Amino acid sequence: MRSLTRAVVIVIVLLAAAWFALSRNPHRPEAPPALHAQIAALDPVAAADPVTRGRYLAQAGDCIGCHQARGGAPFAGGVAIPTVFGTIYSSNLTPDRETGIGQWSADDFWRALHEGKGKDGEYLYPAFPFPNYTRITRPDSDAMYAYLMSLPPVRQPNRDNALRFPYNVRPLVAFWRMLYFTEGVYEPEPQKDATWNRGAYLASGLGHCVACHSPRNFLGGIARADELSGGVIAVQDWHAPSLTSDRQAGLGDWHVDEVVQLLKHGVSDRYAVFGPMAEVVHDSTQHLDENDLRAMAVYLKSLPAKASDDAPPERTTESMRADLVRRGTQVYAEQCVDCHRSNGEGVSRAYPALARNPGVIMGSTINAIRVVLNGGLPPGTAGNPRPYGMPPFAQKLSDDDVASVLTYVRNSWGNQAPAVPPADVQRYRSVPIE
Amino acid sequence: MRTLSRWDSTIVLCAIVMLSSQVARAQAPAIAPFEDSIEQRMKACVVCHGERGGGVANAAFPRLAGQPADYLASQMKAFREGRRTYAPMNYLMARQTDAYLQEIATWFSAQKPDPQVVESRKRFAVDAGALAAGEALVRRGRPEAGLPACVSCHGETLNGSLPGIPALAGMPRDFLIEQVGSWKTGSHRSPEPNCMARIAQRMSGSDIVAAATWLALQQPDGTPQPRSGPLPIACGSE
Repeated sequence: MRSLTRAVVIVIVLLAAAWFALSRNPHRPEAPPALHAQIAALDPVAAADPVTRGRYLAQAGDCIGCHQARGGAPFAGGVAIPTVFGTIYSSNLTPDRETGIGQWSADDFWRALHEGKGKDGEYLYPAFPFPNYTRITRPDSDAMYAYLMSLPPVRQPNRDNALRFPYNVRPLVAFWRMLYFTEGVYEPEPQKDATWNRGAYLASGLGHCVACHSPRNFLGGIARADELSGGVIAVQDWHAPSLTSDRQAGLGDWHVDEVVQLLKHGVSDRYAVFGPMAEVVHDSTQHLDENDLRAMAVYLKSLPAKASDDAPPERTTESMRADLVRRGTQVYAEQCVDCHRSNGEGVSRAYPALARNPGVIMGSTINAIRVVLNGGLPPGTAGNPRPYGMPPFAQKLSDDDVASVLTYVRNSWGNQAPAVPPADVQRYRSVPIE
Repeated sequence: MRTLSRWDSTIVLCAIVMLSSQVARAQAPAIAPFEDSIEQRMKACVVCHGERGGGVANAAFPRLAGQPADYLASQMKAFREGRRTYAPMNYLMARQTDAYLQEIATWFSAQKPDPQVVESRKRFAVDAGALAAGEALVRRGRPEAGLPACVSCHGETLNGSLPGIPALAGMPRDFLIEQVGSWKTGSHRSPEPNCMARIAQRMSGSDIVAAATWLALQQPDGTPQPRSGPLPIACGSE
């Protein structure tokens, strides 16, 4: 009964919101043909054959991030994607005629990317990032289709989703679409140059950065005003930081080169990727042309500063904080100093700097706690095939130790951030590592 | 009194500077120098696996030192591909290349086991009858139940057999129990024919504990020998 009432309320809210959404009328100025030509000239695979082009684009879209199971065949799907609405299983994209997309036409494939609809016109769930893929051009869609059709067919039946009511009623996706889906290929911004537009096309379309780096509401939707302002990835429990020009939480103070290095190699002079971003670098961005990575960084750094950092205020007393720092000083000297060094600067491209590291001082402590508990090894990439790593400390350090060392690190070498209460560490011990 | 010449005072000054820097160095915590090497990279592993992978006395983390390189490489790949389940290792191995895993395996294989690990286990009292039962199972197996002796594959000295059969001597008791358990439950999917899964099915709970307890107390020498003669059971991993 309760779930029925809830469903009715949700439907009413959705109808009201749908009316609001439909009454919007976005206006877009036209870009001059010269700009279109300049943007097209930046495409690094423009001259390649469709299969090669499609492969590059599928990498830019990180398709295998969801469509390849651990130890499974690429693009054969079957990955369980946990959401707050239940579990969705990714589908088989290989050209197998029975279990894959072997019977799909290029038009069917285009409709999936562009309209978010399956072969029979059914609504696809937005775990598939069609609100971003709708921006992909038709020639790029056709190239991706050609690439997928060139793969060896893998016979692997799709699994049924395990979503709760009312989310398992597929036609209800219509309401979600009215709220959060605007169909349309990327239209260049005439006020911006070709590089910016190339970056915007990649980051907002294929790259679907917004899917993780934005806060989502109770319907899994992203309010336009909150796009790329950072947020906790539901269920996975990692905080994807703001990618806007916000100076504290975002990319405002970052050099474009630093962003390019991280995306290309998984490590930069000062930082390293971990958690879900290690997967993105491994599967997607390391394969992209450096100019494309640079274009994405230029675009992201130009976005107006926004940070929906769920920063908790100081929650510890002054004396507790002093205790944490004292104990943390000792833990740091025993466990951390060999790699991160006494000045917190780490070792370039081996051990990340902790001084002025936004991942260390950001309001949300999820990432810092989880890195200490679970350790991390940046992805093995062409540019960094033998990464240095950090051991897990969950089995070695107590909640008090982890909270102490993080409080110390967050308040040394010019860092300044609220203390980490030991109870927060306890909370992330039980989160599945991946 | 004779005044110090300019040279004398320079020498005294130098001595003071050198001494005080020595004092400062002695007071500051000793920070290991950084070098771009495989050894430096493998420092991330010692927290669980012991210095240079030499093992730890009282935890289930396995010794890596002196294990056959092919065995270590195959296990890291199994973690990467989810055929062997241990979340922290699945996470760490997820996106590493074959070449790097092979390099890691080769390095740990060349390290020496730490003899203190087994020595320190000997202070715990163990029932002599259970130990004898464990040793009998390891050395002779139980042919009537189709259970081969451990030594028939893992080497007469239980230091492993080349190319890829692991050493059992001195491995932590809880690690050995957990491994056999993971084959019993099917969470550890070795290549077919999965010999260890078949063997695990033929072992009772008390068999597993007895064998593991005895094995954990045997001093390893870290030198696996080339295998001689056929295996008593078909093995896809070998």
